[in-house]
Amino acid sequence: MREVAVLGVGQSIFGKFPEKSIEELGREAVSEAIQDAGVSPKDIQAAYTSRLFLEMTTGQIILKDLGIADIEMTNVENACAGGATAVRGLWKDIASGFCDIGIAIGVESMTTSPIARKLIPPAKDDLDGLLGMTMPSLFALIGRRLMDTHGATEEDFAQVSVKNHHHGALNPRAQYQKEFTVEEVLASRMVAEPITLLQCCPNTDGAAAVVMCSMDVARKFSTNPVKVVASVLRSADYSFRKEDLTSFAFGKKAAGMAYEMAGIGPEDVDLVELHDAFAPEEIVHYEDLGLCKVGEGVDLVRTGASALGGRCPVNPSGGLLSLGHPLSASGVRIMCEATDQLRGRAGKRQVSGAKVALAQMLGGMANGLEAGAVGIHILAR
Amino acid sequence: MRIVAEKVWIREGIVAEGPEGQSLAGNRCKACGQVYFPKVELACLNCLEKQLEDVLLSRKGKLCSYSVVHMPASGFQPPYAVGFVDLPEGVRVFTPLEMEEGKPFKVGMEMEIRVGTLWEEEDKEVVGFKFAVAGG
Repeated sequence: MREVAVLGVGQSIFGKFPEKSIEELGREAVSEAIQDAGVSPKDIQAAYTSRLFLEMTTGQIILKDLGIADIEMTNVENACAGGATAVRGLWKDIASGFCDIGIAIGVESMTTSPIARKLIPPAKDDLDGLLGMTMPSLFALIGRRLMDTHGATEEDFAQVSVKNHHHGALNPRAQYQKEFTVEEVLASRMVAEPITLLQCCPNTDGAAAVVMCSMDVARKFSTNPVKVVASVLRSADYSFRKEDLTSFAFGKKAAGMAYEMAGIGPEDVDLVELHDAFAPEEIVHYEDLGLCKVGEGVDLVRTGASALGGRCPVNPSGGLLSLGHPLSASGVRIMCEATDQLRGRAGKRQVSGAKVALAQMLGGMANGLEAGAVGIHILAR
Repeated sequence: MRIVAEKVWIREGIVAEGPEGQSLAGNRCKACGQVYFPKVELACLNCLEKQLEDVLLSRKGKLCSYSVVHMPASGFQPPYAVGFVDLPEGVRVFTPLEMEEGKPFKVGMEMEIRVGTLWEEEDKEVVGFKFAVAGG
């Protein structure tokens, strides 16, 4: 297998832009990524594009107006891990030598999707869905269990949101860009106890793109390329094998695979971007990613270890809670943040001296399965 | 005279009658013993054996977690409660919970199944199961 590098990243503005088409959002991200990479559109040999809601050949319609056509283009969907799936597809093509340089794109217009202003619906006829299961309810149940088994409090969950909103306020591309106090988070509308509105990610429109290439090609363009040292994609296992409600077994397994591939351990990671769609789940992922021992996830929040300035900042971008969550874009967007951090150009939210970044996205829900899919990439310089 | 609404099951075949009353209808793999609810149809998902037998699950289990929800979902109007209940057969069931005055939920408490109307819509009643605090 060949070494793979990130050459350039790009991101559209994140927020509610029902007037912006998928093509516009996608082009903003792709143009920036190509410019950042310092390559010509003609250099792109392959494109993977992720999108969940409607229409076909999303990659083709975004790229056609930028002078990219007549190459291999693949369009994928994998719930919130869709963007990570696009990155993984491109990584495999480059690592195995099928192409030297390509682009992975994630895009979503939530405000113009069929579920605008609504919850993500379960699959039709899914028994849990008929019985009232929703994403916020699932994470509320996980949160309640954390309170019982881990001694977590409602204030701890609110603090996750306060932390990520603090980070997001330092990110000019975040949807919220606003600080909140624990009291404000707790006083926001109750959604599913113990989760309040400000502990849920917003509906977001946006796109992200990453240009990746073989290390040989990267050295021609950059003296300091960012390496992709691990790439893992895994589908969820059956829920009958799941004993602990406060852990995603397949997420933990994928993390172990990623660390092994990278030849590092969680103690070597300088920053993490992860799926924080609902505040309590961030604590679950701390433990599944090995950022702390099982049972100590709450401590990372209380001590500030997972905040900027702490031992291992988590979601320095603001995360899904503050930056926003265009579903299929998020798995690519976390690659952008990881790359910007490793290149030392993350501005006010820079993690000083960052050398290793982990980007995780997990999502999906189906009766009988633990979730849908998880993608993990580790980047290093 | 009130017209009796038609009763429609949320899904057919999820509940069956046992000696102690109605209970969740699951199945078990004869080879590895894994128990399923809802029933698996084609083969055991654990060992892929096709020899499956119907089993009636226990009417009582332990509350693994719960949430009172303040937004509508499926046919439920807020507030309503949902949870996971762990049954002795090793099955964790996602279920609506019966909210009752003076009986707050607590993780680990014993819950008992109740079969009945979940919600009403136009001219029909949707029937399914809930779990309620046991001993009520």
